[in-house]
Amino acid sequence: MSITKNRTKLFFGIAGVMMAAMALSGCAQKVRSNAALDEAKAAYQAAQANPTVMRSAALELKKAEEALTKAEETFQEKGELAVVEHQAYISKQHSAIAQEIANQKIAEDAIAQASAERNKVLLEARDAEISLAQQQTEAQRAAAEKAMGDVTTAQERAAKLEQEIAELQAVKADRGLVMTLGEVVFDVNKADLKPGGIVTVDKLAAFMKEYPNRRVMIEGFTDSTGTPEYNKGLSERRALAVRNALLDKGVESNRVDIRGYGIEFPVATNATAAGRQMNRRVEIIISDEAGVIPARTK
Amino acid sequence: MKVSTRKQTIFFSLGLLALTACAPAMQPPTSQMALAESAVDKATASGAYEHSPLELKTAQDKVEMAKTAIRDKKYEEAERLLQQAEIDARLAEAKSRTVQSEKAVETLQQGIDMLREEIQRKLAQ
Repeated sequence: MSITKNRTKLFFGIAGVMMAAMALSGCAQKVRSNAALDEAKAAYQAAQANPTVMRSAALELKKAEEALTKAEETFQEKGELAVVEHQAYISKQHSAIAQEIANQKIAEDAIAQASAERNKVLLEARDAEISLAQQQTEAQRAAAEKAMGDVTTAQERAAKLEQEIAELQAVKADRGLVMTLGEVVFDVNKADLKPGGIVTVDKLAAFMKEYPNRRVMIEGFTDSTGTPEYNKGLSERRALAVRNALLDKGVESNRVDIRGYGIEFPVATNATAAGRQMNRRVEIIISDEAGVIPARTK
Repeated sequence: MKVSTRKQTIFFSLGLLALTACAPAMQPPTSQMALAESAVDKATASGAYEHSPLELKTAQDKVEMAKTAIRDKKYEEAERLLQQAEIDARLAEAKSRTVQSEKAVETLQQGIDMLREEIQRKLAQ
């Protein structure tokens, strides 16, 4: 009986403990795991550390805090674990929403910034186009001015050439510009240039320095008095005298050709003294700009 | 026998405690159901189906689980599920909006980059 009684006592004792354990475990299980709560805390702290959340999602963060407090209190008071975990979950999601609101805010700011940037770029593009157009206009204007200048310069140069040619007392003929040095620049039967001839040669030398592409042909002529051989030699010596005078003034030798024609190519009759005087001469033919002098044809 | 009676009383009261502590709420959570479903609708309308499908699915699943719980008269469980469904749906909506905003930023930035390139190309001519 004693054994039976003891057994009964033991049975009730064990049953009682088991029931108590059941009651506890059913609603407020042992304080063992708080992973959900830890997770919610971490999420809340992360959100709190985000300055954009603090700025733009304060209300959501407040809700996260409230739920977290509830979860923690329930946990501390050993309340239902389901409540703890539920509130922890709610808190965690509020924190997540707060972060999303912050992300949205950042994106919206970026959109605003990008729009401003786009306008800036468009403005820059317009400015660049304007400045490009201005540059082009400026370039065109400069080109036009230069062209105008060139025209002016060409005109000025042409005018100057005319003037210089006039000073040389050259005449425009079929073969080009022709200067005629009369007998007065030479002594009779002599090939030395008189001072008057030297002045003319100086002008020609200066002209040739200024227009380095031009060449000259110096042709000597006589009247029909005396032997043709003598006259040919005299005309050559006179042409040569003019050439030497030019070379003395620094004109390159390859730019000066001479011919002695003697009695050939008279410009007047040899029957009169006046005609013979006109035939005794030196002609200087100035080439064109390319240095070309057409050959004598008659 | 006297001792036995006292033990029985303790046994009984403990059992009662266990029952009352876990007793479900008496009313079905109709208003919370409305809130959760509205939040899910809003999330769907915001494009969550495309941009945050995971969160949306979680919310929808919880609404369905809550309906089952209501049928089983587990009202408290249903209430919690619906609260969670509501907040899950709100998160889905927020995420969806963020994703769309970020895409908008990306598109805008690409547009600007293209514009820049275009200008550079033009100026280089």
